[in-house]
Amino acid sequence: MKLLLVEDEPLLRNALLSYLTTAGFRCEVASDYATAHEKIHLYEYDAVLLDLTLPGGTGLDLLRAIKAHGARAGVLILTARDALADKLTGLELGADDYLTKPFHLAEVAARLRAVLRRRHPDGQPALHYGALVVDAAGTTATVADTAVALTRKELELLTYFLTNPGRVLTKENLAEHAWGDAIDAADSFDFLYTHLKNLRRKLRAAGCELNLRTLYGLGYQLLPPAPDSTP
Amino acid sequence: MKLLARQNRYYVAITLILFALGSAAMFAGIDLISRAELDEDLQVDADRLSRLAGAGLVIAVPGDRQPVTPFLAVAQPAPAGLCDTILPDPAESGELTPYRQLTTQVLTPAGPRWLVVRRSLLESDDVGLITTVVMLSVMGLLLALLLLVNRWLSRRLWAPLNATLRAVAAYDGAQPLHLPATDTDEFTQLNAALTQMSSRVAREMETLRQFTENAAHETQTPLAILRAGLDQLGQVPDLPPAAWPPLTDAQAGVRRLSRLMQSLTLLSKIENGQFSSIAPLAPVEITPLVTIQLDHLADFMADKRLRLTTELAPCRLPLPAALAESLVGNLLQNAIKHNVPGGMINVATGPAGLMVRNTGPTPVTAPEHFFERFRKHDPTTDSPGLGLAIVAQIARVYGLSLTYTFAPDANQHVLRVGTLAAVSAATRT
Repeated sequence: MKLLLVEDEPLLRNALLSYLTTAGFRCEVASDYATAHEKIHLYEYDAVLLDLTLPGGTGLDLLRAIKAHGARAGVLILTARDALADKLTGLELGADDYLTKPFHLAEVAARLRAVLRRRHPDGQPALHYGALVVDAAGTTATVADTAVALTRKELELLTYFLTNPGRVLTKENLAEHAWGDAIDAADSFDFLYTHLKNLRRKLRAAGCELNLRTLYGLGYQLLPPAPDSTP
Repeated sequence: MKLLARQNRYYVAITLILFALGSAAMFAGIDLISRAELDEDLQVDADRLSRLAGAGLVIAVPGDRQPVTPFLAVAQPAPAGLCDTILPDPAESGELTPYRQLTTQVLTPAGPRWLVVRRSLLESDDVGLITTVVMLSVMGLLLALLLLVNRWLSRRLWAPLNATLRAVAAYDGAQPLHLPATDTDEFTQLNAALTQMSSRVAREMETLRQFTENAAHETQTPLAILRAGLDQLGQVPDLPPAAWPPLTDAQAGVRRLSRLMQSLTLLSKIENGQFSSIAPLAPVEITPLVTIQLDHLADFMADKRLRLTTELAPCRLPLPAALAESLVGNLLQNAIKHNVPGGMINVATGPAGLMVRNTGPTPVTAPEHFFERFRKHDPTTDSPGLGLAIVAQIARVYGLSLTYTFAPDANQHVLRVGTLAAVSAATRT
């Protein structure tokens, strides 16, 4: 998967580059409007990660250029501005999704995968983990062609783990992914434990052992499936 | 009390006192003059009759004992000289009426006699009364006219002040005041001072707003770097467990700061009216938002073992959709966050608005400070206390009523949001 990372802040750009490269994306970077504009015209990308405030122009203009160029790249907007108008304009202009700073790197990866699955269903139609398959839309989970009845939150957590395999995901990161800003109402993230326990129990009953490592006080890490659970 | 009414009250009071004093003085004056006149007449009568009596003429018709008929007596009937007396008046069927009488000694051919002449005081009293009544009516009319003229004049003269007062009352601090021009110097000065003052307030508010917005905006990128850095730190292979707690603490700190900045940005945007320009203000259906949010928050309620009861009916509030969501979200999150384990939440919607009732610890804050920014109602939580400030700001800008009450016996906090019209309708019934 070829990705163009347009972000003017070097520290953030490096963090994104490092995380996404490890996640298996082939990344190119652009730190200003002109460079990004040139690269879009010269090369084909599967997805563009686009910061809205750039030296030399706005990300929205760049988005217009991408669409005018007829590029098939999916666009994920990164913005420090949580101006509703900018988000709406971005989506109207054809952006696939947006993320507000500060974001978790795992969230960027998950959103990028979702954008790519929607844009290029032929490329990566589904998420696999041993015998477990989660469909491209992230709405159904099946183990050996048998549907597993999961709640929406359980599915969201599962998809998040599957799009960030091997990564340590903190409880806060997981909670924010599935519940969003509503987690402000929670006193702690301990309720995650119940949801993950249920998820594992349901998958185990269906014949898939989720090899989830618990790092007490920190979070969880999805390790590759143990050899016995692969078909 | 209005300035005009206050002024009129003084006018009327002073005029009435003056009227009373004037009427008394006038009555006394008229009385004095008419008595002097009367006394003079009596003296003339007595002189004339004395001369007649001295010549031996009969001066009174026998049998005609009208009080005003002069008569001669041998014994002294009354002290010599002028005095007032009361006698039955045959013409008035014997009613006692006041008279002025003069008793004087005359020498008649038959010897010394006492001559008594009288005149009725009734007429002079009547004259005094009529004069006073006429004067009072004229003065009363004058007063009424004066008040009317004053009223008309005041309205005319004070009209610019009233316009200024209305403008100041409606002043929200966001824009400088625009006051109508006036040709009265004092009002022109007042308006100039107010315009200058309001411009300064507006300028300072705008500076503060921009500062808040910029500060919040500029904080998001460093926060993003911080969060990404912490994410990467978490991925370091074989990170020693001793590093885990500080890492999660740092992440929690980033999250809190980020939420704080988002809230501040939102507050400044609501203040700035930035939401009205995005969408026209059609009333938003609140009840579906409540249902969605409650579903979203179900896990947190279950985690705290809260009992939820709802009474949901259609409810519409005139708000931009994004803010309606924020309003509902903040109210419900607040009810969960500041609840006690095993407590209750009751959410009711209806034509009058939205009501959220929840159990919780007794507030340490007085109700009037409940919606202030950074006011912590519950020292045990890490919430910066902006949720209710946002709710209050939305209510203020979009003309909704917002009330908070605490029922100590049930330890229940009640928050109500509604349209002002619905509230006044409820108080009418």
